[in-house]
Amino acid sequence: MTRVLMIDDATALTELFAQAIADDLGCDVVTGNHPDDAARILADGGAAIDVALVDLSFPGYEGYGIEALAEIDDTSPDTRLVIITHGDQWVAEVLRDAWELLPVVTVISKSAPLDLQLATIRGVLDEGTAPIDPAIRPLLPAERNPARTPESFRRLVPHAGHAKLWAALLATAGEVTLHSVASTAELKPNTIKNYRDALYPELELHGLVRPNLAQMRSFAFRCRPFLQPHIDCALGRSQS
Amino acid sequence: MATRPIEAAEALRQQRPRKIDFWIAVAAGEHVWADPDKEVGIVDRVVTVTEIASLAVVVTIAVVRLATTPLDGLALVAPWVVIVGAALLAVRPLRVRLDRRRAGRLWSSFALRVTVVIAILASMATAPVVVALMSLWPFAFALGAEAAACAWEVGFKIWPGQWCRTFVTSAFHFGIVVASVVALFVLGWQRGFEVIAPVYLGGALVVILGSFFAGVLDRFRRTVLHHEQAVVAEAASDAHRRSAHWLHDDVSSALKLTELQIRRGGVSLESIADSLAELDHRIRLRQLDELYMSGSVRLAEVLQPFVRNAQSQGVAICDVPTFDDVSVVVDERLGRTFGRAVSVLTSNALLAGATELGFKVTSSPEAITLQVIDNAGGFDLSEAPAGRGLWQLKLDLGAGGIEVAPNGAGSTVTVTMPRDHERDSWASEVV
Repeated sequence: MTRVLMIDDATALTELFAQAIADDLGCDVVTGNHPDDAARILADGGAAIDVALVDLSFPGYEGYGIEALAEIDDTSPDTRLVIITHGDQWVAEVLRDAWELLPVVTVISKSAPLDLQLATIRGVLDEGTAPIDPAIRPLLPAERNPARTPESFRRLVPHAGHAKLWAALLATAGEVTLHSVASTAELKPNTIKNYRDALYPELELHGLVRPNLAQMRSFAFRCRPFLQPHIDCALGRSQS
Repeated sequence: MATRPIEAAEALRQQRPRKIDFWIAVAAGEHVWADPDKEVGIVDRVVTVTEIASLAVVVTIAVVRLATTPLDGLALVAPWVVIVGAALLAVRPLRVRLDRRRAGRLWSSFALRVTVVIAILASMATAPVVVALMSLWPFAFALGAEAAACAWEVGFKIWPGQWCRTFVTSAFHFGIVVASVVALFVLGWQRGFEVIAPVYLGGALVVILGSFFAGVLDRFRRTVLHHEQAVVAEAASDAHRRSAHWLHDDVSSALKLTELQIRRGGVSLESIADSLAELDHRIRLRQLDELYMSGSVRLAEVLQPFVRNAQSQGVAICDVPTFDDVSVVVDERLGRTFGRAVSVLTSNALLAGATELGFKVTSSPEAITLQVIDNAGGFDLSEAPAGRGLWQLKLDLGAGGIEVAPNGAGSTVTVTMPRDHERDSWASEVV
């Protein structure tokens, strides 16, 4: 039997939608309500997941559903990834990041008519892909940027100094200033500034034109699944 | 409880910058640390005007001295050094004031500014004591303004007393002392002391006065920020009250009506679903209204609720722009015009029985163009009933603002909306 995974914090809506998928498409639907649930469900074993429907926004959680999508793609590369979202401005940037960095096959709008949502999932099950919901389409570029890949994040962490900068950005609470980041990273403010300036050309690939530190922090949180391994690797290398 | 003083001390220690970093950072100047495209706020304007005015006073004193006192040799050069040095220091605040920031390089800026400041102090030292003191305090104010702007940018706390203490014990100060001692040896004790002592004492006075003035500016900045936060909090509170009122008045009423209809019976599930879909659309329009009121909006966000509404009415969306076409950020005025055009043309097509709708958006530096394509049979724009949405839209957009062309099954309506560059650029900065 086809197995579908749904990760969404709106529990009641998820249960109803899961029921509709099970009834209309004859699938076995497993649900979770937190990005971390993806790893737990995949680790539990059982039949392979054919399609994963993942929301992007989780109130009260500092990360995004992109973490669950990356985890699923890493653990179960044959699973087709689908984003289900309201598609408002709040998630527009992380939606574009997920679309460009992961093999997401389509995007479903949470507020689309149920028939259209089910038809999209059926299309993914039968054809492997389906058109993106027209209400979401204006939020996504016409073409994926071929240069923007998970591997391209390696160039954002060329050495341990940059890893310290990114780690400090992810760890800095409250207002982000050169001094607060420098204190967290235990580097001099001018070193932080030089590291940031050196990353400008590479950050432009990710749509950030001469970003300030707050914008870099927001980007780091959105793309943490792709950035964190390189940070850990560079810091580990410097310690060893 | 016992750990609180320790925590407080640790917090203070964390906030206290390492001496060498701090003085190099401050001496290098704000332009080294600031984003060149950062918006110039009210505090920046006040600080830069104060700094320019202070430097202008320094220059004026030098010019008066040149004009009124017969000078020769080194004494003639000194006022010119002050004038040129002050002009060089005024470049940064002038650039900020004119919104023409330029990023600076740390070491070249540090070297230039330290050289200029020492040269000015040395030149002032050649003047009579009264003239030197008259020049010194506005010069100290200008440097205090520079230091404050730099400290805000880097994130250093401004504590005038501590600044003076860290200066005394800093490597930067140690370097000055060593240079002074070397100069004493080179010039001889008597002559050296006459030259070095006024420069050193002048420098010390500049640090004390500058730190004090930086503290005054910091207090002013905190007052302004506090006031701005109060205004924002008041506006947010007002917005919350309006939202709460709207939720109560509009959303709750609509939900109550639906509940009553269900309880009384005789209403179909389809009709209830339609009512809820209608309410959903109204909520989205309200959400869009909030976005307009924020001062700027992306065209993608304006288009979205109308595409969703058409979808929920069973209309197939055959064409829709991508992010590349509708990522443009516009101001509230153009956003509302664009939203009204989409709303009127979509409603018009739905009322005429369209089963397929398409949207195309293109933007140029001059205008935003929206095309709505439908299969509702076509219509004549000149026959739009007076007072209705389409008639009003045609009136507002003026001649050539709206054009209708048949496309076989229906019509393609093209709306052209001119852009206001000044407002758009402001709007994109807000976003």
